[in-house]
Amino acid sequence: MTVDLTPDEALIASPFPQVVASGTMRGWLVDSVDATRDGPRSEKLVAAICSAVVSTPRYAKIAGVAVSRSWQGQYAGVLFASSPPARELDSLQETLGLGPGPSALREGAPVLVPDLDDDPRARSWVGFVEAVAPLGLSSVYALPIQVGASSLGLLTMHSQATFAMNDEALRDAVQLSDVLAIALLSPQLIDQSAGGSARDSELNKLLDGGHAVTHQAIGMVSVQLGGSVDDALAMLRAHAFATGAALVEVARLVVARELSFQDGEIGPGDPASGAGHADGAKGDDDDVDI
Amino acid sequence: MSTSDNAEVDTGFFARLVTLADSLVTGFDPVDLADNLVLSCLDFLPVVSAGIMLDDQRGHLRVLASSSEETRLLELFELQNNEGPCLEAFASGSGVLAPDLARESTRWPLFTAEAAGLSILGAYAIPMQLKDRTIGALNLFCDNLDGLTEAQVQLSRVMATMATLGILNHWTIRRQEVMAEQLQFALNSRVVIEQATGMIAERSGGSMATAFDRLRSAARASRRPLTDVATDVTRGRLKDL
Repeated sequence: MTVDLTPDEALIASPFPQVVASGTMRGWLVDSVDATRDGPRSEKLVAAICSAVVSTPRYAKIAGVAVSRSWQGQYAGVLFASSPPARELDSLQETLGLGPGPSALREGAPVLVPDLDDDPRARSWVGFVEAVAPLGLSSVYALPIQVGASSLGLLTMHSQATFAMNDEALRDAVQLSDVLAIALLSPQLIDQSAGGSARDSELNKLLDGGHAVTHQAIGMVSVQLGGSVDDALAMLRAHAFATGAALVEVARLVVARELSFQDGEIGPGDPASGAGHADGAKGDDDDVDI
Repeated sequence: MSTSDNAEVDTGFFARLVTLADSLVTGFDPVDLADNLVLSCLDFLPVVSAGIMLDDQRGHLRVLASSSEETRLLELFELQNNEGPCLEAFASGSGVLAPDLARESTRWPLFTAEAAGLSILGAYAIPMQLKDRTIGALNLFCDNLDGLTEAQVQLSRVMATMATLGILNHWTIRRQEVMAEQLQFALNSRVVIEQATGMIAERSGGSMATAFDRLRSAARASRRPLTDVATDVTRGRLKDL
């Protein structure tokens, strides 16, 4: 397998598209962007992760893997491709604006096509099936790499024979897109986390397991920073990492208004300012309405 | 709240059922439908809170809808990733009826302690199933020991089935890939709503429950799906909620 990557493509669309806020926050974000470009680069991590995937026995039938960045629901450049056909598949879909990948980006959900010749959606992808025919592929799995409302990129896997993923393989693919989201958004945290088996537990802390309070906190912090939900998640993760806490624990403090990133300054928050205090995990709960 | 379990079911209930059934065939937002279902549970069953939990295919059950966005209630639903009626219903594919949680403290020590803190005395979990596959569970909490009658448990099963059909909205699910696509779509819509709720709470200084009510009211006033209005909030197109 060849790692097919050019530095120019790798730098299209920075993982921190908006460097916002002031003071310490700005300094921290700029440092992160610098670190991303010169040290623990997203593309290196993505290449390492995808190379591991194609060599996994479970995905023995997968002929190629590609990761593209996306920006506002559109392709924003191929970041990694494990083979020339994998790169060509992404490039064609970007050009056509049609196919499993563009559909997945638009819908914010995976588009999984085990058999291109037998999928009701293929008819609406006018020209796509014909255009990819020379590549000789039969199945395409497109999974968005995203954090809620924010789409970071797209993971595409293809195989030459028709290939129906079993339940375990599907679950692996969904979790792989979560790990790629960290690689695209907070590569320095993966790089700094411990090696070997300890890295798994560090990653699990970052992955969080999908708590509602984490996403509520992301919304709150994005307003505090005046930035995007990506910025807010990167900030929360960095704070969790720096303090050794789990992401969900940091999120609970934010929602309880005991921790704030107002104007980019990390502060204790002001529990007295909002009626929302009772929402917090540590609230008094005398006025809980359920 | 109607607690009758005889044939005298009020017409409001049938009207709501028709509305919910209509939304299954006219195209809808899965989170909207789930939100309507949990609110209907509160109206037509003697329960104090209701939630729908969905398999996130990452090894967890996630909240898709809750009758209140109050954080401690959401965390009580989520705590059942470790233990509790929801996890048992999901794992076994059978309904779990626990009308008196005080008797279950050995079975679920964490869950019963946290539930007691929220004045929840009884809990029910109904699996959501399509063919042989369980995709999640409907969770119902009671603040008294009267419990649900057999007829009310049957009604809960109807609600759980409607939720399943609302999330897996393709009538011809032939492959598990399609199921995976639709579960991820529903859960991602929910994440957008959680982020929008956090943004509204931060701007207004109010609680998550109040912030979500504002979001829901705005969606209803404009007759738009909850997910669309939430997306407008997260993208900065709607700032005055």
